[in-house]
Amino acid sequence: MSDEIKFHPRNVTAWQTELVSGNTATSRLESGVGNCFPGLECDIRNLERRFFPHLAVDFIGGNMLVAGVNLLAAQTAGLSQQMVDTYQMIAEDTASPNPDEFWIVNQISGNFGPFGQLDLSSDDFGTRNDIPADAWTAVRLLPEDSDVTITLTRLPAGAVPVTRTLSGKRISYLDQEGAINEVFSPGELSQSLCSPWTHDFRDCGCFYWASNHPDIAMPQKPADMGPDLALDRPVAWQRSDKGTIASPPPAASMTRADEMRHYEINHRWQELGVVLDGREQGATYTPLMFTADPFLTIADLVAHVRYAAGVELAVTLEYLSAAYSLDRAAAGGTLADDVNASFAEIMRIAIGEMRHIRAANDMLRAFFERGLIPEFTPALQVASELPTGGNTTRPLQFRSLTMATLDSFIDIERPSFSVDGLYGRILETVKQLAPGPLEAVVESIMADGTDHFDTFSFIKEWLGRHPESAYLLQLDEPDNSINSHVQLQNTYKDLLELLHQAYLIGLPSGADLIAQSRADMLARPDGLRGLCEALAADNIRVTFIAPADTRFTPINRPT
Amino acid sequence: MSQLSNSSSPAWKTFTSDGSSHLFVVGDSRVYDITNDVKQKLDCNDSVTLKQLSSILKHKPLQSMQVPEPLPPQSISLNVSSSCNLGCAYCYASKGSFNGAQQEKMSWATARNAIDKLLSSSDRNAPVTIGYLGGEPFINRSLIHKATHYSINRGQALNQDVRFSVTTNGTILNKSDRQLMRSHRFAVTISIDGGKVLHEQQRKGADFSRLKHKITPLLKNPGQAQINARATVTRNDFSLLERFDAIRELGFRDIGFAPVRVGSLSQALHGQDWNKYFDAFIKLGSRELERLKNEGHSAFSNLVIALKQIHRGACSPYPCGAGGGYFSVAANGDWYACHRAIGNRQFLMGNNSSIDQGKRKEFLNHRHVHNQTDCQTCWAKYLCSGSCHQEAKSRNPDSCNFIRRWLEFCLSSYSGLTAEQQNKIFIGGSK
Repeated sequence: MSDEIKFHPRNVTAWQTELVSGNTATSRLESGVGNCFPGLECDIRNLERRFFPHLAVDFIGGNMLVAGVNLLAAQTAGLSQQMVDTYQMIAEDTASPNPDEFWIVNQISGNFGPFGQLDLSSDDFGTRNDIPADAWTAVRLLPEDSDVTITLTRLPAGAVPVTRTLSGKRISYLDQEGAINEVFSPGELSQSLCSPWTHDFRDCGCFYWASNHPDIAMPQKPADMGPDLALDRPVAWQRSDKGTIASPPPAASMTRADEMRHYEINHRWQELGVVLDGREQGATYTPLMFTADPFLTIADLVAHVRYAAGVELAVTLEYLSAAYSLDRAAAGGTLADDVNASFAEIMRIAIGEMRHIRAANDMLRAFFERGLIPEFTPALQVASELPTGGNTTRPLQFRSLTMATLDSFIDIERPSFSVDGLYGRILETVKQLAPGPLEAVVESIMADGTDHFDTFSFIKEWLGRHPESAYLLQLDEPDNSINSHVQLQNTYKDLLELLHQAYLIGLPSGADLIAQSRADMLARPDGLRGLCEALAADNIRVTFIAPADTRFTPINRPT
Repeated sequence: MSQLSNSSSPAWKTFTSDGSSHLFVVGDSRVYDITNDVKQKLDCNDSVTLKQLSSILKHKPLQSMQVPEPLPPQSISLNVSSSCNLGCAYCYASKGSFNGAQQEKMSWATARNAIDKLLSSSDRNAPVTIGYLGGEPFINRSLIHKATHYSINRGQALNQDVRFSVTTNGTILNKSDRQLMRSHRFAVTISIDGGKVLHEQQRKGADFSRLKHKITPLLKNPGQAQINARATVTRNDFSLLERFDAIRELGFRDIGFAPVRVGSLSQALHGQDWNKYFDAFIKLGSRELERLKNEGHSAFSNLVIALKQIHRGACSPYPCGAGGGYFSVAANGDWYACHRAIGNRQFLMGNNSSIDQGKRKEFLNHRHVHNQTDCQTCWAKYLCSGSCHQEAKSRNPDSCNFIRRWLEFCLSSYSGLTAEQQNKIFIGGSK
């Protein structure tokens, strides 16, 4: 073991580089408790505030009130002068802290999903059954990027009402990297939360207060202390005597004698303590930093991204095979719920993994476009071996969804382990060699992994309540005498071919091919899904064989 | 010299100063001291040392290197004059006519419209700068005075801090011009190439004595104006130290050199010229570095600015604000990304009525250093940023080597400063 090298900072940017612990995965919007009126961690109403380009609106009562205008964006968006003038006029009226005049949206035209194309007046809401119930619901139904026209009226109305019309595309919630659209300001999504919810959480389990009020936490422990059985065990966070580490775990009962009562929390809330990394913290917080070693060369990075794409493809196939081992028809009662939920969740995860294949290919294309690699060839070779932590691997396997199989799925999705560990190194390298949006792509994949890990853990809990024989099909292994199996392999090969073409062309030109591949997977009766269903109905295991084509032959883990 | 972690996109570089070793991080221009042993291991790609280096490299740069969304202009230059009383062979503007693209001087209506457009959308929390260029801008003296007073008044009404700049040969300045520059925050660049003989040799029609007579009162009593000398270097004379001293003797405390890189081969540097230029730079730089260490200031602005930028970790994907926060307005009211590109349609971004945002984005994307193929493998890409857009086409291994060698000299000079010297130069001020 060598001594640690000292890098002595000399200039301002070097001095500024200090360890800063970032937000946890549970601080992402989708991990928070978001509901309406007013919401707990996110007020979902705010997601619609920016539905129209360059405007912010508040939904107050049944009205849509213009709350702000991004005039600069409107002026630089290439709009007609007439539209820019309208934005300017509204901006001037709304800019004053105490405006005498304000604007409301009193007419809105667009595609309202199940209600179809409509031209709605704000007076109509609540009076008819064939339109959305209120303005907020109406806006929520507008598909992203669809055409919307709004009519705005200045209030209080003078003798001659002032109205203006604006047309634009409905804003997307997320940007292309999957992050919240940058039109939202920091804090905007939580700005209307009810505050403070001082003690209400006492009556709710942490399933409701997802990230900010845990039920249990490990007690405080000195930063330099090693493993300790007593202190590495979670106890009730709301325990009345914070000095004790013997508090029993929280119970469903409202009368938890060892825990602070409602009014006690109002007076002693500060004693509850900040919980970070699952542990109550003292005055000084020493962050647990995620560390991974970057690859030292572009060639290394590219080899591992190609392998990562292969791993994503491999787990997609494994998950599909396992999902179609579930006996969805025979199940009944609680078992039916557990099996159907498990099947639906595995399909969701499998589709998520397919998106990761695309993300890995997007990454390779970006390297090429930045001149880091001389050419781009799509990565669609399935991994022959999957990482299982450290330097160990296991072969690609098509198995029924037994408890053992679930354990291996949980392991492969475990944070900072196996696949996540692979992306950790990719992320660190991307930060250095291609900083920018690609980092968010990799971070998003890693966060998905955490979600997949949690979901497989839940599935294990659901299915673990039943004997394996109750929810698994008795499957025969396939061979080439089975027509559906042969057809599946052909469809799989065609799909890879289609994706290869699409990735090679890139976006936007390849979008049609990607859409076609999605249809071939999911929509067509004789597509991938249909053939998997047919095999399961005949009690044949769903398996996939890599086509004999150098573009799709299995790829080994890089050394 | 140093080994890079990989040749396709270097993330770091080692260098030395006075026998000590240092590390430069490309992404955000961080500078570290390292031991000579570590440097040696890094240079030999020792895997254990490289692994430890990764903990330094993994920090996310504080500044984004992405193509920015265009913001409203914060700075313009007005090409107020289309002629000049001198005839310098290397003039990029061909005396202000830009090879016929700019025939007339700027009218007041055009200047006022441009100023109004600038002030209508500028960020009130930051100063705006209005520059005057030409030809020789003071040939259109009345416009400069009118535009300055108008801008000051508009700025006061809008609560906008307005500042000015002008590049002039100084030979036709009068008392009222000097008073104008003293009374407002003017950055004044005087084009002067050296002592009498060389200056008059390089600038056809120049009269050194007249120039001295015109600028001395301003140098002695600058008021709010900041005055600097810009000396052009052709391939025919590399006596920078002597030229520097001659200009300094006039009273200048801020003197920068710029080589001719495009245009006539009899003027522009090429091939071995860059080595001669480098040697001259080092000779002057070494002397002025000692002055900086001892006195805390030097007039050699190429050195002082480089050291200050290294100190604060400056890094940028663009060499200047062209097309970003800065535009240059031609005499006819057309807005160009750069004052050297008047008449060049590739740089035409709009006019006093509107700016073509699509073209602006395209320009920013095209000129981003990540999109300059030959810059990808260079450790100095965020310091040099691909060099002046107008001169980028003349970029070649010789000129790039000059820039890297000069920056390495500056990095080495910076790292050799003691803490006390750093305080004196960067906190106490270098003027």
